[in-house]
Amino acid sequence: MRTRTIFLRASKLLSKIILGFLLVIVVAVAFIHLPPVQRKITVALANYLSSKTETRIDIQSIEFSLLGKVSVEDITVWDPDHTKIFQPQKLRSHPRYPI
Amino acid sequence: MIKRNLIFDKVDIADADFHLIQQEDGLNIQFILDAFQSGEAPSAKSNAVTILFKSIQLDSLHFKFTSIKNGTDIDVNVGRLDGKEAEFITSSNKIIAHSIYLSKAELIVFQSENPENSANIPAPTKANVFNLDVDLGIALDVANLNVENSNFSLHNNRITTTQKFDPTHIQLQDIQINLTDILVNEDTLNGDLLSLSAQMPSFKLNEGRFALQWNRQQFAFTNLHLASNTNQLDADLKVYTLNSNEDSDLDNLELNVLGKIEPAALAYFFSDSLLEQFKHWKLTEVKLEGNYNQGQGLIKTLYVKTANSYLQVDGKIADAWDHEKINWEDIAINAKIGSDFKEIITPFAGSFNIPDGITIRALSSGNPKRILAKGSIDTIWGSAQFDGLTMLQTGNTGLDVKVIGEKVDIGKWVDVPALGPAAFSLVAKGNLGTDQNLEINGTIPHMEVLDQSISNIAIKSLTRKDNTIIEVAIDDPAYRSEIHSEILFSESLTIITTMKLDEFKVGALLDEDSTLSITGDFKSKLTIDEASLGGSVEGKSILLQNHSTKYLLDTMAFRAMMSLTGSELEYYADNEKGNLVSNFDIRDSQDIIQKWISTVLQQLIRLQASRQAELFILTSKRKTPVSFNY
Repeated sequence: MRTRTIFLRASKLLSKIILGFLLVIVVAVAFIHLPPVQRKITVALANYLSSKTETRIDIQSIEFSLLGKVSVEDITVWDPDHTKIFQPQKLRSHPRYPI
Repeated sequence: MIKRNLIFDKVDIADADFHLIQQEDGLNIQFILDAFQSGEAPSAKSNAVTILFKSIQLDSLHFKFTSIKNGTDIDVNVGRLDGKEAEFITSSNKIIAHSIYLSKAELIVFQSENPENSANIPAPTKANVFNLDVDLGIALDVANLNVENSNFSLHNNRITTTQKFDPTHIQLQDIQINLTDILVNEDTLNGDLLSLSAQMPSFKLNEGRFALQWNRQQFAFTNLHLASNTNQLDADLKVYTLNSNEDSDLDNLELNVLGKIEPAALAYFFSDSLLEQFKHWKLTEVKLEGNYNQGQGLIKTLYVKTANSYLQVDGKIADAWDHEKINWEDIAINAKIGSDFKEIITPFAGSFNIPDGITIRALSSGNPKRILAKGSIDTIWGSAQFDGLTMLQTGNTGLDVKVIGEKVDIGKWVDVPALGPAAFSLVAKGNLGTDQNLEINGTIPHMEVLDQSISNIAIKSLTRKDNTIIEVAIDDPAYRSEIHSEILFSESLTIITTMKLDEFKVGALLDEDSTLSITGDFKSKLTIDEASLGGSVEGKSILLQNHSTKYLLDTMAFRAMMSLTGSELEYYADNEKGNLVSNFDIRDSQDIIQKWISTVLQQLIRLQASRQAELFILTSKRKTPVSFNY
């Protein structure tokens, strides 16, 4: 009887943990899909790339999902001489999982 | 080795501009490559990444490459590019694609003049064809490439449209290509072109296809088919080596070409001066089949046939790539020279006339310095056979040639109506050129002169650097004579001739009294230079006779001098004297000379031994009536 009670309590705890993880994922997915969040990520990514390459990189917007779809609009990459070397207005990719 | 795959179901790029610049110190994207360069030493594990794009779609793409280093500008505009199953393997730096469709693309290559570039271009060598180095930096394996409605242009130094094909200004428009099995890597270039059409400025290629296999062992261009309107060309070319050494010779070549070409339709590819020779040709068949293996070549067939002419050549050739060693054996030439070929060779014939329908059969062996040839030429103006050896040395051409002619109408060949058909056998031996010493011996069994037949003529001549000596002996009962001529080549041309005539039927030759003959010894001298023409004829013991009369002259002399400022003719005989003086070049008044000579001859023919000749003196002025007496 005691064993059964422990098992039920453990099951309930595990269920709550799993549910909690799922909730976190759902919230994270929803959060990431929020336009203000994606704009923040866009700016952060542009800054990271600019910093990494030590040149100017502008990204107008990035839309992506956790399913892998990525859509980038108006990327502009300059070289150190301030010449535009890469400027696609639309770039979309759809990677397949598992990678 | 861990294999990692990145798979993209779809990648779309639209309205993109790329600008790649090659500076003296590298590409302008080098900073990006450097930024993402891993600090770790590269390993097989980290390199093993395959990126697979199930579908790639590019719309309105502009790629510009500028090389400051070598002066090259490349502009690529892509209207639409669809790629299916494209795969990039990082470990082998290779792109594999199932299909690529390209539409409304334009590739413009501009090469500005750079003396350093031209200086760096290696001189072409016979082994270049195997030194394939496709330095794209990446390998390609594309199963199917379709290009539609695209343009390509290549310009050196300036952009212009040329009326004639110019390899430095190439323009192809409305290109349609279906190319399969494309394989490109550092030492291989393969592809099957299933169809190609393109428009050049003055030429449209309606249909093209071929299979190309090019690697360091062979260059094979098979099933080539090109068609433009009624023009068609099919060819197979295979060059291969059995030696993998890059410096190996072009020892093995197989070539098979078959075409039907109308030269005028290919005017875009030929200069006007060259086309002038061929443009009147209608549809012309061309066939070339041969091979060249280990320094030994075989021309199975070289055949060119126009509407009225043909040329067929076959035989063996060796060391074809070395002009010092090249030689041939039993090269057989069969040709019929109709009006098409005649127009080509006429400018080289000088003062010779060329008849229609010449048939030539010849067989030759030798090398550029020693050519053996024999054969025959048949024409409506006679036939000739030749057999001999020509040796080309520095400054000299050695000859040892025998020529036999039958019914050769010399008058028609050299446009001298007085000469008719002749049979002859001539042997020429010696040198022409710096050390000139050429001896010609021969016989003319039969010859027609002024419609009269002369037989049994023996000819002997010796030509040296400064003179030519010609001896002619005629053993014809009607024209028995011996003539010795010496032609001196100096600033002026001088011809000194002595003649011994023995009852020479001069009347028959001149179509006058056929019984009139002349016997005697004559000596003449003729000098021709730029300003004047002078000459003299002296005779002694001259007997003129016909069926009823004999006229003997102890001496006779005739002198003439003609120049732009005046002319003088003098005639002396035992009892006669005549002269003609003018203050103009009498050669400009051929009718006066003809009349004068005719009168003299008429009088000679009708002469009476007892007749006393009258003195005549004629002085005339240009464009004034001339009269004279005898």
